[in-house]
Amino acid sequence: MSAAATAGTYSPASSAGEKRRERKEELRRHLAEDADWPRADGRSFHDCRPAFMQTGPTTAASGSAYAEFGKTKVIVSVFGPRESKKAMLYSDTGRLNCNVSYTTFATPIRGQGTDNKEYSAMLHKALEGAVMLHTFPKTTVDVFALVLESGGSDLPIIISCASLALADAGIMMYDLVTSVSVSCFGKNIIIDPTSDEEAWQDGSLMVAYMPARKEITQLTLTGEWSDGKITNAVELCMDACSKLCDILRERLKDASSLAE
Amino acid sequence: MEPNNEQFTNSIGDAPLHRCQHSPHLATAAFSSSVAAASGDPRCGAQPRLDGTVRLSTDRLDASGDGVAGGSFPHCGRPPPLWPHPGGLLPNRRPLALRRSIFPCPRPRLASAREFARRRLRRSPSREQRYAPAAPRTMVGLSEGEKHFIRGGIAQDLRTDGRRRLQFRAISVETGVIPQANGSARVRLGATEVIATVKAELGKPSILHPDKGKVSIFVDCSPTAAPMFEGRGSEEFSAELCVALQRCLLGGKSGAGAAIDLSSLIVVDGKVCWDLYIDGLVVSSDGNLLDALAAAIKVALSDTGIPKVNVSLSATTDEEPEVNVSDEEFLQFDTSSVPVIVTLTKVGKHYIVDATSEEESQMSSAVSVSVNRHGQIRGLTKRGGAGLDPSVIFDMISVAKHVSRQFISVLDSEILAAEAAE
Repeated sequence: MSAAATAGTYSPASSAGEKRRERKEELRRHLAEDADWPRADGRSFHDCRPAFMQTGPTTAASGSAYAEFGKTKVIVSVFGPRESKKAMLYSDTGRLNCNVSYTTFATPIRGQGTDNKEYSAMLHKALEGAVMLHTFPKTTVDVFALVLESGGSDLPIIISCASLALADAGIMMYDLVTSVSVSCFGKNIIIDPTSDEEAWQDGSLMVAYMPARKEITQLTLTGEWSDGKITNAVELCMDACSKLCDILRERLKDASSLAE
Repeated sequence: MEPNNEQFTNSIGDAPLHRCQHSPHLATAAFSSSVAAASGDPRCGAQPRLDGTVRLSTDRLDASGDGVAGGSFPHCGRPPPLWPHPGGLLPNRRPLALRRSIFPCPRPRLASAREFARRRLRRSPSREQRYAPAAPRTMVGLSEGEKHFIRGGIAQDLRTDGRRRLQFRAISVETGVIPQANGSARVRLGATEVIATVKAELGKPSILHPDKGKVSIFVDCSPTAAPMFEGRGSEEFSAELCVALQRCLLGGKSGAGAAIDLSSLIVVDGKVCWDLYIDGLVVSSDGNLLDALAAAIKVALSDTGIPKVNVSLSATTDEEPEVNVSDEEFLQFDTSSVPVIVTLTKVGKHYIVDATSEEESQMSSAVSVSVNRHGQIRGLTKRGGAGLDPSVIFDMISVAKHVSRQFISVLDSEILAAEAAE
């Protein structure tokens, strides 16, 4: 298994992406009614990009994960639990500190990634419901995400990758959090949009979901949506999330079998 | 009923109960409203054993904060407390300098000025960049009894101020409060007070969308509203409000679902357009800021007059067109599609609208839904850490849609009244 063999180092996944292609998620519960335009990467509307995920790219961190969905490449490191900063007040629950940053070359125009300042807060909100903060009182867990390349659906991929990194670090969680976003074009819903698709969407919806507990930890919606479409889109996202969660679990099993 | 209930009573209790029968939180609506009507003071009717012992005013918090701090001060004049930190009050309210002076203990001195500067340097960059989760609204200090009182009241559909779960506080609206702006409004929702202004400036449309104007939204939390809004404290909070408002009002990237038709802001295609700057200011904060801000923006937009522009097109189209801004004729916006935001705050098993900051401190999660006049959802944001069952979220959306209808009609009549008064 190439993933297991290369665990512990950071591998540019040009060939590994092929391996994952067979894992292409089959999300055809809602067949597109009028699939009249092909997506640029040849997917159908309800196909996610092949997901390549791996634990342990950075050795200095307590846990780390790398994710590559099409062009989007994200690396997340988790440090801690470690002593909270002195300035912090006493707290009998742990703290989760999240930071999302973009490399200057992540976007087509240099340095554009700094537009996404709210992502740190959104990542925190998506994860805080899943992490058992009471298991590390007085201490802080730092989650640092770096977007190496932005290729659309950045935030959902950051969230999924961060929860894999948290699990890799051995932070107690109620469940893995996975996240998927959909875009809406007229009456069509397309899942896991690329940045080109995001630039022209009529509306977008993102769900962060804990599949085993069947709980939504974060839900954002913007743009024009009709009622029935929201229900469909949320269900579509939840289904994709639980399939993505299976991939995450496999990666964790790979990592632990390698450790033994 | 109390005078503040008359303004905006939600009609869920009497008419359309059948709509919401699947939601258990509404089951007791009719019952407890009759309790509230029967007894003069609704609080006595609800929980007599707690009455008198639990007050939810902020001066009590300050006073007992003093008690904690000032027990050992001779000038304080009150008996020293039996227990150093009663209830859930914050033990660290006292200024640091005071604490050190009454507990003199050897503490490590900084080696030198250079060492001091080095430590400052090491600490400063992280503060700016990281997201520290200490949200201002968790700062409400409540004792166990007060928390119990709030949660119990919500479970019985009778909140601490006598409202029912799906009832807003009295809303008051004033337009044209800032003469410098093109449109402005002040909205009071109970003790929450916000001001929204709209300024229009001539600008250049972006290359990507040459046929559209630009709208930007900013929110500022004034330190006059709450001490924790001072300095950096408000930054994350106002950024959160700002993002939520943008999500609800600006629509998708293509411009679909936006509150303001962006193509109506264009003056000359690809050359000149109106840039609309919407600024929200939190003057006084007692919970539910997002709904108040969205309502204020809606009112401010309806108050906004955009000057009429006369364009004299020169012969060659490459040249910059000459623009003549009229200061007499103004154009009004079509604000019928501007949505309102209804935030449903989940406390225990139930959800409430228009939560005060005390109630917000007890929430497990909150869902803000932006709904327009036609009952269409235009945006949605979830706050709070706890996960929610999908069916609960769908239920919240349908309740929010129902409540919004009432809210919009109240807001509309308030706008008319405010315009008449002006």
